[in-house]
Amino acid sequence: MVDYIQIAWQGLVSGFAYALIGLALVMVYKTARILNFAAGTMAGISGFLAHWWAAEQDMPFGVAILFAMIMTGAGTYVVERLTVRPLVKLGDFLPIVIMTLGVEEFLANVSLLWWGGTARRYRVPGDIDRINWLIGDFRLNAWHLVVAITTFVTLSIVGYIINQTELGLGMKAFAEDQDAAKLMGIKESTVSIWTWVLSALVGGVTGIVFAPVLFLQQDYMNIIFIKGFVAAILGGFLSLSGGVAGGLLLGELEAFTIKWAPREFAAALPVVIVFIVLLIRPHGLFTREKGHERV
Amino acid sequence: MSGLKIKDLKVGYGRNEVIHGVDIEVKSGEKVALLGANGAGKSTVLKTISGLLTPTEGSITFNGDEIGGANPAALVDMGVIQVPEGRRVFPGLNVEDNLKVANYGKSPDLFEEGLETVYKKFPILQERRKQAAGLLSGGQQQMLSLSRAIIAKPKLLLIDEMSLGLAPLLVKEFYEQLGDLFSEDVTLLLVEQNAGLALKYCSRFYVLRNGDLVLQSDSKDYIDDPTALQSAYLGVDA
Amino acid sequence: MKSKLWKLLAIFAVLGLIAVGCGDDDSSSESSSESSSSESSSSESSSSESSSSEEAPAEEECELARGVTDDKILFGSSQPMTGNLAALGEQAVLAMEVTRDRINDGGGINGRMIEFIVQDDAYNPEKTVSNAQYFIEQENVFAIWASIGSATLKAALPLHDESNTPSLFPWAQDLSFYDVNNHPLFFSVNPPAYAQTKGFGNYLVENFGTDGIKVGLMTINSVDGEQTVQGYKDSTGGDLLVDEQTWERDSTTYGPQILSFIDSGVTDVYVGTGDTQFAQFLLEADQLGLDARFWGSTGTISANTIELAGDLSEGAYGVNVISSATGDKPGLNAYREAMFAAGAEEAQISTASLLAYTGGLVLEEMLTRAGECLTVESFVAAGETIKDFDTGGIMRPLNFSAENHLGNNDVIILQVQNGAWEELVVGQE
Repeated sequence: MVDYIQIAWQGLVSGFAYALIGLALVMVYKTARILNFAAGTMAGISGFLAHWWAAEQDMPFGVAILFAMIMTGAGTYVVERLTVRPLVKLGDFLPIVIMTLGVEEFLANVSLLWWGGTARRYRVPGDIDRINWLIGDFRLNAWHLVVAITTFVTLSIVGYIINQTELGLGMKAFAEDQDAAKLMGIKESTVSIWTWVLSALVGGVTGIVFAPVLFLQQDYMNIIFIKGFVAAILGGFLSLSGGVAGGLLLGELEAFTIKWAPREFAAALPVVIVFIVLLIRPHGLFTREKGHERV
Repeated sequence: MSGLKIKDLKVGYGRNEVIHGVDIEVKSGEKVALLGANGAGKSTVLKTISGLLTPTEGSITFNGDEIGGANPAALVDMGVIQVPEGRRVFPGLNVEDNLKVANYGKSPDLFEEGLETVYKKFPILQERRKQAAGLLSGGQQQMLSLSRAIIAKPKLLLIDEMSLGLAPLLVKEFYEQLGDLFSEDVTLLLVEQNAGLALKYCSRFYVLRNGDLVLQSDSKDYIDDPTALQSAYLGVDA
Repeated sequence: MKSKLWKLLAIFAVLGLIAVGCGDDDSSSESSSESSSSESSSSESSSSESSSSEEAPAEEECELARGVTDDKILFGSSQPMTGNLAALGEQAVLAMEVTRDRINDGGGINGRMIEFIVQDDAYNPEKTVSNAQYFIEQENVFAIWASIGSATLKAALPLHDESNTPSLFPWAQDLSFYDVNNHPLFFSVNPPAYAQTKGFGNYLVENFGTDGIKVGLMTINSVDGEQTVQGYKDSTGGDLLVDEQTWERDSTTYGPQILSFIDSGVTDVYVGTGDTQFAQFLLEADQLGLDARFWGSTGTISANTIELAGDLSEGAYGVNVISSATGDKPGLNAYREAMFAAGAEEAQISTASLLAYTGGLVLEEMLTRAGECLTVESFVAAGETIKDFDTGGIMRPLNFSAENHLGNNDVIILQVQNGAWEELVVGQE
């Protein structure tokens, strides 16, 4: 029994990463109708920045993270204004997506030049990522607990912003009906840029909190990005909570298929399951079909 | 120069010109209707005034300021408010959030005030304030759409095709209520297919056909026989 | 409209994932065996010419190989410069630069300077093939040197063979490469994964017996991985295997596999992977309480494993065909001195760079022995004459012949002791 709880927990921890990145992707897509292919690389740079300021500039751990988050937010603000905004005016979907691919390529090269291709260890205070507790037969890694708490707090903050603030209201209005939202006096560029920043901060948190788990490496967030993308698709890509649920589901699928499926198929199985789900429910598991059709 | 003044307006989607040079004037506090058949370009004119579309040529001034091509949000700040065709409530947001959106960027106190007014005029909205707007009936959605405009405190109100998809009796009720909902000095330009209703409420009207103005007149000249406008709508001699 | 677009995107994304998951499984190994008939024709032409001008046989016109001029020899190298294996690519390129500079600073070989071009393949076989096309058709290189990756090289090797282009000292271990009949221009000092796990199994039984020993294998889900497993099964410890697990290049955790190993009660786990992944494996094994001896493949033996895993790497074994890059032997000392002089970081003192460096030593010897008239034939023939080549202790003495283009067949076992890889025993065959 404990065995299954352990597997479920391991799947959940991976799922947290997919869920957060899925959330970051859906947020931007839902509000601004843009797919941000740079999300993974941006998240990775946040992790590198937090490491760099702590390990190479001797800043306290928390301050380094704060700086990394500020840089992530400010950097995203500049990137959105310089690259995305001018294209939004042209009104086409594809050029913007291609632009985010370009941004991805650029940032990946910058990080490669700056930090090289060698993996690094992200040190956390007291090396608590190396502390494991035994609760009965269940083993709990201290940092995994931090990951879980961080995920919970991040989701709560995002939930609060979406549901309780004017920015959140604007995001929701834009997601529902862009023209009507404009006619209500909501500035598209304002909502868009803060959505980008919020999305990047969620990604940044993910990049930092998973750095001790995956090690800092050029592209270390790209696999998470791809899986976050799948999570978002599973969730219907228009539902924030769907993206989160899709991520957690994908994490569990991966964990349990390795346990049960023959080893030749284990790795491909989650993808196949996602594929089948999409054939049956192209609009994802967590969105009503109606949500996609807008007059 | 107060009021709305449109001169030689041309608008298109891409290379496809839809409005071929239109002049419209609505004096401050005046109620004017823009009539025409389906596809004549009425909504395009409204969308251009409210900033959703950019004129390719010509000018639009409101109280002397050029507003052609301005940002919709800036226009809302100036008091140019549109009640869009098909009501366009945010279906996933509840009634109160829909109204809150109309107060976007403005003080919460103003909102409380506006909310009170709205709920007094439409008690059903207060009853359903926590319900998703998508679940309201068509009439209730129109109430909500008009309520958003009330909260936005318009100086120039643009109403696009209120009769669309609503029972004629209901539409009539809304038209009768309009004077009660908005103050006398609100300048109004409304787009309507149903000439009978519009003429009762507006003092003047324009008729648009295929992107050109074909007729403008005082309502009183046609109010007894709105069907006489058919020829202007359709371009056939009566 | 929108939902259709999404269906499309979703399908692309899913197909993409499947491709990532099983991209290296296609075993397209119908190699061209009719490629090396040029030797006889060239000797014919030279004999006919020598009859016409007997006075000056030494001044023989020599048709230099493609990529070779009087003052230059050009090589191409396809490397993972981005992606998960980028660190290995960087390390290999640095060692190639060290080799190039050593040769060129000494005046070159027979007056010829060494030059090479690197192209990124991100460990993607399709890119490796297009890189090879570029090297051969656009840049006219003499040979492909020190590329990294079995799946990648496997895809490109037929192209090398067809175009009479030697494939030199890659870090690639597919069993099929070493068939001299199929790949007469392939030279390596790096034994296939098959030989590594076979050596591991033999070593395990020899040193720990068979009593109570249960072995788990963790290999990449690919042909490479299958050969790794086969090598172990063919060893004297083959019967001790109780659990086979695989990992994928897009894995983010090895937790489920580790839990399976715990279930199976393994005492020894062999992990065929790279250093970063091995460190992550050690980390997760500790988290989940897998109590076993850990054996890493060649790719895991780097300072980076210790840097990343910290104390958790202590006691871990490395199964290798080459000494630890940080060991104390004349050849290793010279290697490190040259690497640091070229600006290497501590973490780049690794098996990846050492293999490329050692390949460079043999390459230099081959070019020297091939003499002034450097053709593909003279080069291959020169390589086959190398016997008991001393690498200064980096590997056991190397031996090549017409039947065997793999210079090195011996296994070395290392262990992390007090935060450094230490060599335990030089195993046999």
